[in-house]
Amino acid sequence: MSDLLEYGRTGQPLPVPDIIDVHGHLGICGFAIPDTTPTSMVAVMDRMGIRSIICSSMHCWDVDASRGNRELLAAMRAFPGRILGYLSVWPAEEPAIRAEVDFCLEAGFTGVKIHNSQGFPYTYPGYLPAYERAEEHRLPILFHTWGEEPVFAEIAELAGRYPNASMLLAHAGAANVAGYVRMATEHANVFLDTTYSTSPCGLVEQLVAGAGADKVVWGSDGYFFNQAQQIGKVLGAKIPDETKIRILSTNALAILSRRVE
Amino acid sequence: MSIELFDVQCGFGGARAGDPAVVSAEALLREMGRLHISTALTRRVPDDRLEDVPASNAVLYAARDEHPSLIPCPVVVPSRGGSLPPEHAQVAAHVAQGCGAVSIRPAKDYWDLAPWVCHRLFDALQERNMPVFCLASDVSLVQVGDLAGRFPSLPIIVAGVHYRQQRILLPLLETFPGVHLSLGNCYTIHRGIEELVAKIGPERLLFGTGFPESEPMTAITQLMYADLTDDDRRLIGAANLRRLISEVAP
Repeated sequence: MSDLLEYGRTGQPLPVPDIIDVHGHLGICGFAIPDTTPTSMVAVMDRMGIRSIICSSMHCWDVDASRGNRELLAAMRAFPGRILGYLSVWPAEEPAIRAEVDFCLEAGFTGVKIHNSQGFPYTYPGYLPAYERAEEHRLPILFHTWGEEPVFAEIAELAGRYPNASMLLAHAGAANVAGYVRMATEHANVFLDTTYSTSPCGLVEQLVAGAGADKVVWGSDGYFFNQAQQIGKVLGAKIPDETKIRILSTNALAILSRRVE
Repeated sequence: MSIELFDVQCGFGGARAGDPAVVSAEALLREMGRLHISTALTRRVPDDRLEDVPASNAVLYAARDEHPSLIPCPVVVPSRGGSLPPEHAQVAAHVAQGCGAVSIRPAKDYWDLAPWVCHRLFDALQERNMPVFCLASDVSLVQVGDLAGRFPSLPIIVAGVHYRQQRILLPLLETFPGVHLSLGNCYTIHRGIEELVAKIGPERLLFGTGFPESEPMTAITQLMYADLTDDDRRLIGAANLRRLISEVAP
């Protein structure tokens, strides 16, 4: 049994100093979550030894994105360094979007989350102000994906247009594993986020083998999902501990360290 | 801490239509060994087009004869209309062969949970305190509630519950004390286990992985990092399922 597997099997905090969860949410969503306080999220992170989670608001897919950004900002201020933020926008009027993006970045948000359940393609002009700032400051952009080739084509276009932004594809391997691998290998600034509820056997191994250990980052979707359940797919993967550490920590640190003011 | 784990939701020897992969009993045992899972209640998984129920069940018993840590969970079917022995005989035979529970999959085996279709089967199972395993994809939570209301002392294990079903699952468990929950493999709810323990206690929660569909370590970390007492964790990890199996009437 590898060291990290043993830590997970026995429920001990992981001995990895800077574990970063690149895909989180805060707020209320349509289905029941027993405890939606940021405090409960941080308590879970403490039990596992997770340093930080980068969250977007549950409003990232609706018209109240700005309100969600402010709720998220309050949590970021309550737990500095533990809860980081992806800003989200509702792509209506460009001046307001630009102002919202600038407000959030000045307030300390880490990146951008765009969810296409808003009903727009990722290339929609209303999102461009957020992409431009991400390019300027070398920020991560987390895209909700589910293996759809037309969506990959949109993101491929953006990856070329904004080469200094890091494009994170959520739910990598939920469908079309080959498509995710192709996206990560063809685009230097595309990374694969492991978030997926049922965690198919062998999926993390497939992503690492296909895209490379430097291109996979751990996301939990917590507390939309259970962080403790989602970390098991990395700890249980049949890959060396050093690769698990890259997925849990090193790769995300490298993405965040690219930021320039 | 390290605790014993008894997997209520796993299997081997099946296949999904269009996918040639078959996970053997030996592969399941290797995975159990890797993760220190002591015992497993096993089904044929995946079970696409496994329509010869007696033959499929025999595979489970043959694996158990070779590997005692694999406890069979055979499929049972109402017998009216032919092909299978009467319900009481089916259940008696499975008890005699040492099954740990039985599973039902009404649509796949062409029957229905209407009382006039299956009451003899569930009468026979209830008489024996035989746990009945139900995948939520085969038996909806509403159907589980209906069954639990009709057979209040029948132990029912519901598995594969989706993380968005908490508003149905919690009242189901609160209303029907015979219903138990496997925590695999899509019950990925933030503080979900903790809430269930607070509301209904730990005795009806069961460790389950969903292997070979899902990476089993996800179920382990979900349990091991949950905010529970060690006693609660031991109950969920193995003791609750051992108790259920021990209560089957010979």
